[in-house]
Amino acid sequence: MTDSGTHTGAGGSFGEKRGGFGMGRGRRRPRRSEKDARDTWQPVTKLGRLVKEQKIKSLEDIYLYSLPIKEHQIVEEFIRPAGPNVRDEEAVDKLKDEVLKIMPVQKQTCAGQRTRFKAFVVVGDHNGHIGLGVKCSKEVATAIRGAIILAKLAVVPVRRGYWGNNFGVPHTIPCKVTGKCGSVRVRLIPAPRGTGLVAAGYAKKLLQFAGVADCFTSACGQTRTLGNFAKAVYDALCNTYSYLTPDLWADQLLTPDPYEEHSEHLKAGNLTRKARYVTA
Amino acid sequence: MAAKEVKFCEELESESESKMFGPLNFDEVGTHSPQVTYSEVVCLLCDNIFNIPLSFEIFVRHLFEVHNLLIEDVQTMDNLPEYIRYWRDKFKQTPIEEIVPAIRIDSSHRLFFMLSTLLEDDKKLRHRLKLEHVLKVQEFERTDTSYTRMCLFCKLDFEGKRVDFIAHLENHHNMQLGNPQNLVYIEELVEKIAETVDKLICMFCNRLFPERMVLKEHMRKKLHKRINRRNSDYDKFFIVNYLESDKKAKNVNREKDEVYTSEDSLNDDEEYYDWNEKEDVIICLFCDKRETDINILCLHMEADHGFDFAECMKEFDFYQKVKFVNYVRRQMHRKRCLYCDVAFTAVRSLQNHLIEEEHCKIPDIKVFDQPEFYFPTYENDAFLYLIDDVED
Repeated sequence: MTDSGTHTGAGGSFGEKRGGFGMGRGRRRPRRSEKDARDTWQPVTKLGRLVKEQKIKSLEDIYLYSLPIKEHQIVEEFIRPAGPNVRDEEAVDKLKDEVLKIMPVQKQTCAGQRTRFKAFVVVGDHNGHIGLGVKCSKEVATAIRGAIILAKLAVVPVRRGYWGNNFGVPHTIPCKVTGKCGSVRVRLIPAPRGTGLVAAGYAKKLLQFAGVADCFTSACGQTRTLGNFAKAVYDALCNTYSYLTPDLWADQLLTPDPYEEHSEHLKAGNLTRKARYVTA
Repeated sequence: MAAKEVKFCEELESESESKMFGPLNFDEVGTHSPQVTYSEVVCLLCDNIFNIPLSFEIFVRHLFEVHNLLIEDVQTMDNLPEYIRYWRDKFKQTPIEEIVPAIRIDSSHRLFFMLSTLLEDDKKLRHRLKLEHVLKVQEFERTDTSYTRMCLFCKLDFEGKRVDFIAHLENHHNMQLGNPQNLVYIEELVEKIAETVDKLICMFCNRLFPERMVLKEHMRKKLHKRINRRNSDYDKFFIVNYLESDKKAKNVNREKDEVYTSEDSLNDDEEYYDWNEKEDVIICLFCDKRETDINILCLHMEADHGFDFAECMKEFDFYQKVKFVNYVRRQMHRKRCLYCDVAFTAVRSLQNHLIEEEHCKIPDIKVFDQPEFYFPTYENDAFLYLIDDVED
């Protein structure tokens, strides 16, 4: 299922080879190449099927109709994961991930207190897409892997614009946007070219992953809660496409969504496993 | 003719002084490596200040002689300052006699207090501090790219991240050490393996072999190029062992990860609540005072420099506020008064001037409302992130 797909991307170090405690009988598992992993993906959602058969041309088509993405391989299909140790400059249009923090958390269960590791991960392609994920697990590697998958599911587009003149590449956000999470409110304000990212530590990292070159930030609330702070920045970046600016006022024709467009394809051929079993 | 040229050059030079220069950095306080941090600690029971780890011995002796207090395993404790701070807060609320058991060491009538893991609170605290320390070390190892080592089996001179070295051992030499995300103290682990192999001992079954080639063949055939999970010498390198203080790893592994929660709730806002860290330090515009709360800093500026930030910034929009802050930072760096632009040789004399003449006020708007002041004068200037937070 989706688990087989977890061996994709994000480099070999996240591969499923535990030689230490627990598993690891020393069996030599063949190194899965990225291409193999993509080929072995069996989609379970309609959207997944359409993406695998390349009926959908880009991630933006999915965003246009606000279709929920339930399989992380969908995102990987459009933005290839970058290998390990790829520098930021080279990683444009490749999905790069980074662990922000691993922290221990306590959970109260019927059998007493349980300590678990919680991993916060950010993924982005440094060119307009960003995702944030958090996962708890008893092993650090599992938590990181789970968080990466959740982050990929949460990838959103980020709208960039200009501060003053409309020439060159968009470098800042198009308008002032605000995001909130918990008690933290973060406001992103457009900045002129060359300002750089005027933001605290993790906010700067998130903005870099999103591909924003210049931005002012203004935070209020309990900024000590870095989790809420990071989520608030992510929320603000999501809002860049929620804000209706005058250049978007023009009417747009309503086009059918991918499910309707490819409904024939979805019905024909690719029967579900159950149906195949019955007819066989 | 020549005089004019000279004058022109002089003007150019003085102009270039005021031209933009590269971004500056604030002096960083404290070191970054997780191994050694120097910090000031206030004693548990009195108000003396000690510098750990410099005056560690003096501190321990002080506790023993003055307060009759012993701390179990004080030499091996990580993050002693945090430990002391916790107990200091505790002892403020309840006196030490009620919490800590007292013992008599020698025949004298002196009672000694012993802080040890017999106390439930102490045990939990030590476990938490240990876990935090280990995670900090792991974080450092995860991001640091300056690890260099000769490979154990081939001639490769490795340089880069530790996780990549482990990956190399795995891919090229089929040595399964475990997922590097689960490992900590990787340098020590590699040294330990190197030592064992150099002594011609198999790392898995601990048998001695006569020759290096024989050992290699044995390890290859028997698939012994991995860590024996029964060997407790290697326990300290796996993070999962630090999770529970009294349980062993195999018990932890047996517990199933709760994977049955619904997918939607996992990335909820609630999941982000628990990550708390120290706030960024904000530096005063006119002196070196550091604070974490911008409103407290503004009160300081009003009291010590006569500058009411909230009042002065009322009519300005966000961009003008940013420009003003950058302008003040630049003027202070160049040791010039922000109001009358008089130059000084020392910061102290400038500060005196500001107080005497009460020049901590806003000059003509045209002076700082220039596009060059959009760009931050200092890198990571926390004042700029919190400009809008200032309350009246």
